[in-house]
This record gives sequence, C-alpha cells and structure tokens, in this order.
Amino acid sequence: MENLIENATLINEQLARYGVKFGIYKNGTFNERLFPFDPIPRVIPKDEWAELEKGLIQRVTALNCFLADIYSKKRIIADGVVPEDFVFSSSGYLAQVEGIVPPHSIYSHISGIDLVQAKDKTWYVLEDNLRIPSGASYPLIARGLCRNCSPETFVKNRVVDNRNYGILLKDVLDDMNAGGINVIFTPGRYNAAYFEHAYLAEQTGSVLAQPGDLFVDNNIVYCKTLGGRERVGAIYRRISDEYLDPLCFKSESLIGIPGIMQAYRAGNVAIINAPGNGCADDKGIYYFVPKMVKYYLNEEPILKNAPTYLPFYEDDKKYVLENIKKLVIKDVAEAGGYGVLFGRDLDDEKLSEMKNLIETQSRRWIAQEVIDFIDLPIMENGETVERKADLRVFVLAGKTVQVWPSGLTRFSRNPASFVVNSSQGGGFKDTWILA
Amino acid sequence: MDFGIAKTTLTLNQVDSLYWLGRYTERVFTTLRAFSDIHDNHLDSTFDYAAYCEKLDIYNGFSNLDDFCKRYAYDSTYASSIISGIIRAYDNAIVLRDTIGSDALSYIEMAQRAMQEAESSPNPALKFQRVKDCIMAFKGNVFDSISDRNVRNIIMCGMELERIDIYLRLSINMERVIYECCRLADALSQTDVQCNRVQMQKILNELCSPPERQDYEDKMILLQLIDGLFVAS
Repeated sequence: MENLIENATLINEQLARYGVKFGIYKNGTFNERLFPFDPIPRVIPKDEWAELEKGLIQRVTALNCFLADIYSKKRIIADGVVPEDFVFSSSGYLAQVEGIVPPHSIYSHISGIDLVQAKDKTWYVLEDNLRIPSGASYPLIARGLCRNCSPETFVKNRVVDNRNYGILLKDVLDDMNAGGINVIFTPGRYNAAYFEHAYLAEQTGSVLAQPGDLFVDNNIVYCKTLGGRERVGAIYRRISDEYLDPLCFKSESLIGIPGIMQAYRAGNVAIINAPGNGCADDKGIYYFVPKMVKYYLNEEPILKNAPTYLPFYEDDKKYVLENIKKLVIKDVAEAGGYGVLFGRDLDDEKLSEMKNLIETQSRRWIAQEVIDFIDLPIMENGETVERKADLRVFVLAGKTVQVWPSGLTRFSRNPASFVVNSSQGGGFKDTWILA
Repeated sequence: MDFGIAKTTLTLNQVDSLYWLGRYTERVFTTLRAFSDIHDNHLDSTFDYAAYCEKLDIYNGFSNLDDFCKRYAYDSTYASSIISGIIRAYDNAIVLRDTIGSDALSYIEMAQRAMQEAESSPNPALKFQRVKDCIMAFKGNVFDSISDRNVRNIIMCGMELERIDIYLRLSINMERVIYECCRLADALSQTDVQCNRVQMQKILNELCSPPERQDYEDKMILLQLIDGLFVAS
C-alpha cells in the first residue's frame, strides 16, 4: 500500500492524461474538473463482501418486482404495504409507462446503491439510485492506472479484478437487445458525466449517440450512420426520463428521440434503465424497501436502511418535530447532495421554517438518524487525515443479477462535512474487494 | 488483450468530427512547424508576419511582431491561433472516445496541455516540440491501432486536405503538394464518405498542368476545388 501512496502523483497525472473529469455548472457556466483521486483504497474483506453481495442482489430483485407491480397490477398498494400517495405523487412515477413490460421484466438494469458503514461495521443503505446512476467508470479506469503505477501493490495484495465492468454491462445490453446495435445515448459533451458516457461506450463497444443521431420510423429506432440507417436494439440512455421523448414527456425537449416511447411500447427497443424507475428510488419510497423484500421475496432483508421517519405518518411527524436537532432532513425531490439539511446546523429561525414545512408538506420530507459512519484515511498535503466516505455499489441485472466486485468510494474533502458528492467538491478512491 | 478498436458503425456526427479532428490536428502540427521557425527568428531578427497572415488568409489584428508571436500562439479568443486549433481538435476528439479510443484521445489531451504550458515556459520551443510529439503519437496510434478503414481514412482525408491547403498557401514546393494530393485521393478511395470524385480528378489535373501555370492565382483555383470536394457530384 505504501508504494501506491508514494505513486499518488503519478496516478493523478495518468488520470489527467486520460481526461478523467466531471462537469459542473456554477452560476450558469460549465467547467470540467479533474475528479480528485486518493490513493488509499477502501478495503472490504471477502466475507463482508459476500454478505453485502447477497443483500444487494436481494434488494435490487425486490425493487425490480416493485416496479413490475406498480406499472401493472399494483398488488403492493392494494395489500396496504405501500400507501398509494407515495407512489402516484412521486415525480418519478410515469403514467405513460403503465402497461409496458420491458424485456425479462427488468426495469433497473444498472442500480447504484449508496451505502455507508457505521463504526460498529454495520452497513446501511442510504439511497437506491435506479434511474441513471453514474460513477462506475472512475474506479474502473483508476484500477488499471494504479496497477500501471504501482504493480508491486497488486502482487502483494490479493484484490479481485474489477476491470470487467465493460463486459458485464455489454452482457446486460445484449440480454435486453430487441434486435440491432447497442447504443449509449448521451445528452452531449457538456453533461456532468460525459466522460463516463464516452468511456463506457468504448468499454462496451457500443455506439455513442448524441441528440440528432437517433430517429424513429414505423416504431423502430434507427441510428443515422455512414452506411445509411442502422437499427438500434438497446439504448443505454444517459438522459432523464422527462427529456427522453418530446412526444410523450416534455414537449420542449430538444435532446430526446421523438417516438421512442412508442417503439419501446411495441417491444422493438430496450431502454436501459427503464423509464419510470424514479418512483422506486424516491427518498420516500426508500422507507418501504425492506417491506418490499418481505412482500415480494418472502425473505428477511439482509441489508439495513438507515433509521428513517416519514412525517407523512403522524407518529413519525411528532418524533421528527420533537427531535429535529439530531436528525438529518432530506427533500425527496432533490438529488446530488442537494436538499440535505442537518438539524444541528440550523438556527432557531431556520428550524422554525423547517418545522413549518414538515407540517404543511409532510410528503416532501424524510428524516433520518445521523449515522456516525466510519471515517476513511485520505492523503492531504502529504499527511493522512480522516474523512467521511460512502460507497456506491453497482448491481447489474440482465438475465442474471450480478454485483460488480468494486464500487465508487466517494469522500468529503471538507472535514466538517458528511456530503461526499463530486458536485460538492468530493473526491474518490478505489474500492478493493479482497480475494 | 487490447489490440485496438475495430468498430464498424459510425454516426454522421462522428464522421463530421473525425474529418475536423484530422483538419485541426494537422493545422496545429503544420502551423506549429512554421511558427517554431518564426519564433526562432524572432530571437535575433525579424519576420514579415503581415505577409504570413495574408498568405494564410487569417485576420491580422496584431500591433507588432511581439504581439503576433504571443497572440498567434496562445490567444484562445483569436480563432486562428494555434491554441484555438488545438482546442478545436480536442473538441472533436472528446466526442470520439468510443471511435478512436482513450489512448489516441490522450495524446490530444496532452498536446493541448503542452501548448497551454508553453505560454509560461522559459523555453517554449521545447513545449512546441512536445505538442508535435503528441500529435505524431496520435497519428501513429490512429493509423496503427484502428482497424476500421473509414475511421482511419476520414481522419487522413481531413489531415491531407488541411496540409494541401496550408502548403499551397505557404508556397511549399509543388512536388510535395502533388504527393499529398495522391495520398488524399488514396485515403478518399478507402472511405464510404460521399464526395465529388470528379472534383478530385480536377485537382489532380490542375496539379499535373505545366509548372509555369502554378502561380498564386492557380493555387487559389486549387483551393476552391478542394473546398468543393465534399459537395456530392
């Protein structure tokens, strides 16, 4: 490990060489930044990973069952397990998707599950990301560069190779493909995750298509190519649902593919991940995921949620209002680390405002106990310091459900902050699963 | 084991970017070769930068030779500067990672960085050398690692067109221009890109006309013919 740390500058130079960046808009201006990399990996022992892996497969399987149910029979609502308010008032629920059954009934093909580990070593799920979770490309490229810069580290440590993500992803695209080429559809180079779109296209041998490249004719999606038009069988789209098809969702979208939803409904193209998944990764629905595991799989949930309260329920609301100072409050409509408020950081005026919002818009908020999650060591100015970090693990669901033996460990560079998102200045490190 | 990219599906936007990637990398490479000499002369003699601008048909808004040497190389707000050329090359390369591969793209990334570093370097000529090295490595990577004939040859067409354009403007000897034209015709014949094959023949005919005809006016005719190459006949 020392050798890896000694070569940190080399590794970061290599990351710069390969353009490992993310985009960020600030005050209306787009900037690309190198994603700060810390050489000290997060290390997960084999047995611990095996348990996590089982829990993640279970959780994603249940979430896929939930999505299949919600867009068809809605049994879980009829049986009173999940209140309908939490489904139909979710901005991620799309009535336009009702009745569409995607190939193999898989809705969330690539799930990014955010976890934290408490000081007692218990893992907690913080968030399920089932729409277009990003981040796999960073540890993927970093591993290869770390091996080049510090080969002896990987001789001395038995680490599971994670460089197969492109193959796993290609397998998912092939499994879902309705006939034609695989495409990764990007909104363009000024998207925050453009590096990832392009890198994954390279790794999977897919065509990287941008707005204007794809069109629909007679319910078939085609790509405009040098050789004429080529049929598209699977689209790993990296744009949000609402911009996907101006004929179906936001009519003002200039980056969508007019008519794609009709082609999808006709079963002529697979859309990865399926539109409408947002109703299952809503911060409010998160509360119900352990119940989904029991309901659909008849199993005890292996992974724990962070202790969560829904002000929607009167008992929970009372608890939240009484204990707000020790809780973290999250706006269910926000993502990327935005809309997260720690009660302890609010002054009396803000607390009063927050309480009023919880009273009047109870569906909009969830509250969680602040988990004292473990700090990880990072290098800062040549010294080791401790910082908060989470872990996003990627679960890929095609004909089988697999967990990529790696993940994106993001850390806060601000010693006083729990927020690790890259858009908020966080960095990343490799995640080693020991063999 | 990775033996490079073997890709067969190219979107029309990618075709466009491949062509312009070729043009801009060649523009930077060739003008930087010329500029390296200008920069060297500037150390202890002078240079007619106004004539240079006229030949290349670029806007001469420079106040003096110092201003020319600085802004022609490093001013990213000046569209004809060398740094603008490398930025445009990068703009086209960045959307082609899946087509040309991360390795080829990394050379453009490094060339851009070296050009940016040259401005504050005490010995910019070494940085210019680094930019040229990176572009040569890019060319080598493209022609050695990419097996798709369209990808290779569309980039080659862009490079050759740009090279012919600049060589004609800078009055490089006609034998060399003819050689580059033959390479362009060869590259074109190996792509599926729609172009005006009749125009290509006209270019070759013009080049093979008697040497006394090849004055500046005739070069302009050639440049016009080149401009019309990708308008389908």
